[in-house]
Amino acid sequence: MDDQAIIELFWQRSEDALAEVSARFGRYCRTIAVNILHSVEDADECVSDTWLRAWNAMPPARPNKLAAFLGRITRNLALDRYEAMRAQKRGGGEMELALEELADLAAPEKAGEGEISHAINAFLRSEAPEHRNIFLKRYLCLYSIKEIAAEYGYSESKVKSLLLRVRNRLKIELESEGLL
Amino acid sequence: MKSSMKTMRAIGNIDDDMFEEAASLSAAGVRRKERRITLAPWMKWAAPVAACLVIAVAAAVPQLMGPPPAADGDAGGYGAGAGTPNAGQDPNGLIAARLDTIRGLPAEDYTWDEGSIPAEAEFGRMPTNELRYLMREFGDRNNRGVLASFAIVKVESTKPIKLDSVFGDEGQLATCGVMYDVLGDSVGQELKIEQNLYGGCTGEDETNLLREGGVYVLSLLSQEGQDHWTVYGDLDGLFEVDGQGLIHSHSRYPGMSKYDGRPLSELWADIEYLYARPLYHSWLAEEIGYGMDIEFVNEDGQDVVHLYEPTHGWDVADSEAFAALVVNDVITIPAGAPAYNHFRPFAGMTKGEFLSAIEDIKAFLGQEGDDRNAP
Repeated sequence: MDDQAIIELFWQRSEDALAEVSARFGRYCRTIAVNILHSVEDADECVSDTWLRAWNAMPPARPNKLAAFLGRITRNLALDRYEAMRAQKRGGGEMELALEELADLAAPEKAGEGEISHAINAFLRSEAPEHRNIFLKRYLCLYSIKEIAAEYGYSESKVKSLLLRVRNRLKIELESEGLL
Repeated sequence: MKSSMKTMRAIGNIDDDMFEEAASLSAAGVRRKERRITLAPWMKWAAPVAACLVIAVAAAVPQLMGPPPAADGDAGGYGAGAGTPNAGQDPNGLIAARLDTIRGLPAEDYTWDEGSIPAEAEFGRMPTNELRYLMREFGDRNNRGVLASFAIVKVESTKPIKLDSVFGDEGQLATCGVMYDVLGDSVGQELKIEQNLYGGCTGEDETNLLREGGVYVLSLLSQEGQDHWTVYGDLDGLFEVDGQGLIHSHSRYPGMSKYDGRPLSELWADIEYLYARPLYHSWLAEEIGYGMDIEFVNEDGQDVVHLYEPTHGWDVADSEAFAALVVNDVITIPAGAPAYNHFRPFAGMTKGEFLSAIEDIKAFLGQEGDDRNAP
């Protein structure tokens, strides 16, 4: 069943929609959540909440790309939960490491998330596809360096080095935009 | 960190097409992992091994050995007479005796100087100072669509190659014969090993490159579909067998250099011991090394095992319970427990067997506490 057919089920308020997204996107959303939360149980709750959010959002939403739509919901829910866990001194895992890696790109309080998103979006468009994807696998999907290295057949050192270079270029870009 | 989180959130707002592009790659990765789990060679015998561990661990006999070597290094005929894969144990020491007939090239005693690694590459290097940490990497990797193995190889020929790598352009492709491997399914086969040159590793002429005619015990990785292997950690998983059949690790880490001057059979027995238990033994060894704590408590009228994992690796005080396994007559995995492979082999063990396994590993390690950062 393609994206539009699934979205149509949501619009018809058919519970088959939930079964379809669970079957098609369940593992994908769960992976995103596990990578952020480092906890299968918390991730599963995030994924369940994702279906609920999607159910409440469609209609009126009619996303063009369901994977991005659902993945973004899961990611935001997982980030919310991660911040709550951090407050309780839980957390750890790849998220902690990824945040440390992004420390040089830490935005000041006054910078708006929308402005930063816009600048990152434009920057990533200008990057080579492979560099962009490796960057996104790390900081969007929160895959470990090891997993990315295995995926691309690179050494972990090469992946780290590549990420460092992309981050450095992004830093220059954000600085030039006055966002750092 | 708060503003890093803002950046992290901002990354999530990229355009749909880029999000989907990254997502589709992730999905592909997951599919590959699953296929690999199905086909991973060790999985074929993991279940019986797990079952046997109940007995084997309690007996605390760390001598699981693979097949006899195909031939000794002097003969150079590594492919001849390959034995049955994983033929069993070595109660009479016959296999160990045969391993100790293997001879390599005369070797010098020198120590790798990591300072010679390019700074850019050093940035990402995590030195491995204990065999068990190498095994943990293998356990993880086998779950990620990567082929991983330990093997004793004899180098047949080498040729220089150019590489596009952060470690530099200079490299070597070595054609090797497998004399022995932990899975026992590659004995007699030929494989290609690609290495980057770490020039002047010792400040003299020695390099990390395999030498023609040399015999090595290597930790090897390969991607599915890739036509060559790499030495994992390179400077770490690179044991040389000398002309007398003795080991040279060239490592500055005591956990690796303790094999220096020892017979090949001793190193190989430890490799087999750890590698043969990918589902939990090497994992436990790692966690115990990190300071994992185990506690039996009574909850709601039933015994429960709590495993405490140090949150940040080595700080026991900062640990948290991350698994609770129910003990009735035997350990069971409760519904909803984390579905990590690591826990599954505990199922079916009695409390006594479980504790024996822990003590067995502690005895093997000979120490507790994390020493990864030790030089």
